[in-house]
Amino acid sequence: MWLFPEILVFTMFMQNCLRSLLLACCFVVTLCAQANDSLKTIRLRDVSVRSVVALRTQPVGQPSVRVSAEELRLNMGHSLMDALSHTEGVQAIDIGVGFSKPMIRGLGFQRIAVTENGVRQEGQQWGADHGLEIDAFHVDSVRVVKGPASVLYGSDAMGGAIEILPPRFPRRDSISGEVLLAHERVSSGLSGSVMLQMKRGRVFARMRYTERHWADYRVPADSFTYLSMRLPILQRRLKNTTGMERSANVLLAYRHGGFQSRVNLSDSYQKSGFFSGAHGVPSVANLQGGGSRWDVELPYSVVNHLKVTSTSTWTTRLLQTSLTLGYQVNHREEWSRFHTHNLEQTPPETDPDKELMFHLQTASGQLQVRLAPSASWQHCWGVSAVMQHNGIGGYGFLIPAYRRDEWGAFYLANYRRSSSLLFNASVRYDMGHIHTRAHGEYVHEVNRRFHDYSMALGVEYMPAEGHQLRGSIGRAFRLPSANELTSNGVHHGAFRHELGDSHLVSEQGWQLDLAYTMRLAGWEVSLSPFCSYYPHFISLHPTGRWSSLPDAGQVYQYVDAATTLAGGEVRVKTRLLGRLNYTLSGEYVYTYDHHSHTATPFSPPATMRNTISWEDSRWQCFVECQSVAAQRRVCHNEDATPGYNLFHAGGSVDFRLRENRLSLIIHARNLFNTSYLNHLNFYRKIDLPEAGADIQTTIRFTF
Amino acid sequence: MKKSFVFYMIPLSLCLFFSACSDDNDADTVKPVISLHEPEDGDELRIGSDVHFEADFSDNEMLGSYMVEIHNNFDGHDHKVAATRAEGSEPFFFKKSYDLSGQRNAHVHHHDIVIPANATPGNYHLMIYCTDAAGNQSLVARSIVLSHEAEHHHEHGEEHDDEHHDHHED
Repeated sequence: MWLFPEILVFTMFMQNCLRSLLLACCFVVTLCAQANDSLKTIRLRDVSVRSVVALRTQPVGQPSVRVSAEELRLNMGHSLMDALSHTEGVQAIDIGVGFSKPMIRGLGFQRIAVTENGVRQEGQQWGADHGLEIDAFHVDSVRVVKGPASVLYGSDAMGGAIEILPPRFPRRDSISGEVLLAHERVSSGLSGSVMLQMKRGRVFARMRYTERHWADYRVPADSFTYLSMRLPILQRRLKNTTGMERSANVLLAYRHGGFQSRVNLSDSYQKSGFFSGAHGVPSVANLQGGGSRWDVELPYSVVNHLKVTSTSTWTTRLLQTSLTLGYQVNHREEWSRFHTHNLEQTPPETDPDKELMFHLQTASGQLQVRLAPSASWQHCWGVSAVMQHNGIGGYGFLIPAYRRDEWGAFYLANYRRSSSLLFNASVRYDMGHIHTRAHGEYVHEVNRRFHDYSMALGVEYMPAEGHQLRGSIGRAFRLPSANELTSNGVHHGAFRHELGDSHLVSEQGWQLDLAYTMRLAGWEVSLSPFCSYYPHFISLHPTGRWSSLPDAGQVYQYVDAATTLAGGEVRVKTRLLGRLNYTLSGEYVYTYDHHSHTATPFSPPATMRNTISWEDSRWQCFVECQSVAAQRRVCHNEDATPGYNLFHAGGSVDFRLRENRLSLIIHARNLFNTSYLNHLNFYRKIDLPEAGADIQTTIRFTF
Repeated sequence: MKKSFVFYMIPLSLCLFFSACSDDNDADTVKPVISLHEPEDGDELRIGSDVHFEADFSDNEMLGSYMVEIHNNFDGHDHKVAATRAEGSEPFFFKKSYDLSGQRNAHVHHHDIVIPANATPGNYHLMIYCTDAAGNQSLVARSIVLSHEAEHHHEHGEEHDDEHHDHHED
């Protein structure tokens, strides 16, 4: 689907192919060119000097997909990741209810970098039950980079990157805004968002406030089986899965001549309950009624994410210099009535029920210089630095307090041999330092330094009009995280004793990507196989040794295990009749852990989507069949998951009144209320079925 | 001519998916099976006596070990300690692991669990964990009650007093 992302955006409005091509071309010039698409780059011949206005170069040959604001809005589920998981090759790891984490081609957690305004989002990425903490309504458009992207984003982007793109600078002076109301049936959730933006001369400002409340989630089941106990689901709602989310965003931008600067301030707050049946040993008593389905009870989590970013760009005829700075504070607390795995421990005097607290502060910066000495060459140099400090609190223990620093330098070159042949090479060198503090008698101080390089080589070739071949080979690496080096404890969410290894080496891997795309006579076809081998890959393995902690079973330890991943995506789109379109998309990932001779945890099952859509300038609707194959390739202590078919439908309609626009978007998921298990759900291990039929209604008024 | 290319690409890609998802694991990912005969769920166990423990473990390839754990469940799942110490009694805690390696099926019967006379009466959890040689783990959890009035299970207790483990390999 990455073949013509820019164009896809516009084909949503325009059926006329030529016009959309021209538009795509304008789009490229106005909004920072990413020279990676065939048709776009063909047009760029004539404007190659102006294409220096790019803020960031995408390595040629690497698959990336752009998801437009319209696609996001139409598919928006419980979170941003629900919307992105429609993109083949991208999966959402559901972490209970309401939250999900990105996974690209079978890799997730700290192997995927999420960036907003060019700054990597720093939360508790390692934690399987922690969400993204980004206001989904604030997101204009997203680019997904599949495969190793650590050349551009540093260590964490080993499996890919999700880049949230900055909003466009409006052309004319104007004041505009948006009021949005959304409801989802499955959680009785209500969301409201207000946006106001103003452009006057050289200044552009935008503000958004969003609030979301949801009640206990509905599931199509009356009970679930866990640890050989049959436990009830009263009123078919999961007790204590309610929560709320509140976020505010302010953007200030200034543009004059070749100089542009943006400052973005955002704060996101979440409070959500943990499903009582999945925290501690489930008991019938914990699942009994009492309390409203809107009340968050213990255990619950509170997260606040504050972020300030600034990007300044200065462009001259040949040279572009940009500086990106960011500071963020991620504060997370988990509250649960005092309990301990150490029989001697007594509750603390203050906040006796605060189980875990993480206070993560990150400062980051990147300086980048781009030079385009001729129409065929482009060079880019950059340096970056990240400084991180994590503080901890609470009566429980999971990871220690730590300090982590990363420095990197990179060089990237694009060479256009002819209008149909492009080459790209990039190399990056990173150094990292992690220093964790000792905790109690079992967790020792760790002080480690790491350094490694990443590289990528890409080629893009257009043998004939409408055909494009791309290939890339890249090396990526990742520094071990604090939890992989030092964790030693039982997480109630994960239910096992996890042990770090302070001697782990950094993860390293190679990936080979190929892609063929064709766009001819109303047909769009793309095929993109990939294969990667990681000689060093950190994963959690059972040891067979019993934990000394109560309630823990055996100890799981982080080990260095070679891993192979292979798979691919396919997408076919064609026009059936008039405005009726048919799209087939599919993805498959094969994973193999050479240490345990099994699949890796959370291996995505093969998935296929068949979609019929119809659209004109005002109306849009679709029906979709999502087929998910059974996943029988599992790792130790992971259950196989049966396959299922789901049917979805949705549509949107626009009413225009002069400059104002009222849109109504309805999205019905799982139309037949199918009860199914999702292999990528964190709660899969307690056999909890996924949400039943859901109708999401969104009313959006723009003025 | 170009169209015909597309027409065979669709079935080709479909084949890719459906052939690809049928393979299973190379390694053993089947969990061992625990069938716990004694104590049963909701059983009352007498303070100051031993516990009759009887279970069968089996695995498709090879067993690893098993572990028995008993911890209190006085208030939901809060392992609260302070509240109960005042009465001069100690909440009972038991944790012990046993080797089962080299066996595919094992019948286990012992009286290792001895509840001391000063154990706090109340609700407890009994957890039996079992691993196989590959690291697959299963778990059985039971709710039990410790009290001074409970009847002791004499019928098996006296027969096997001198024989704490009897493993029968099938």
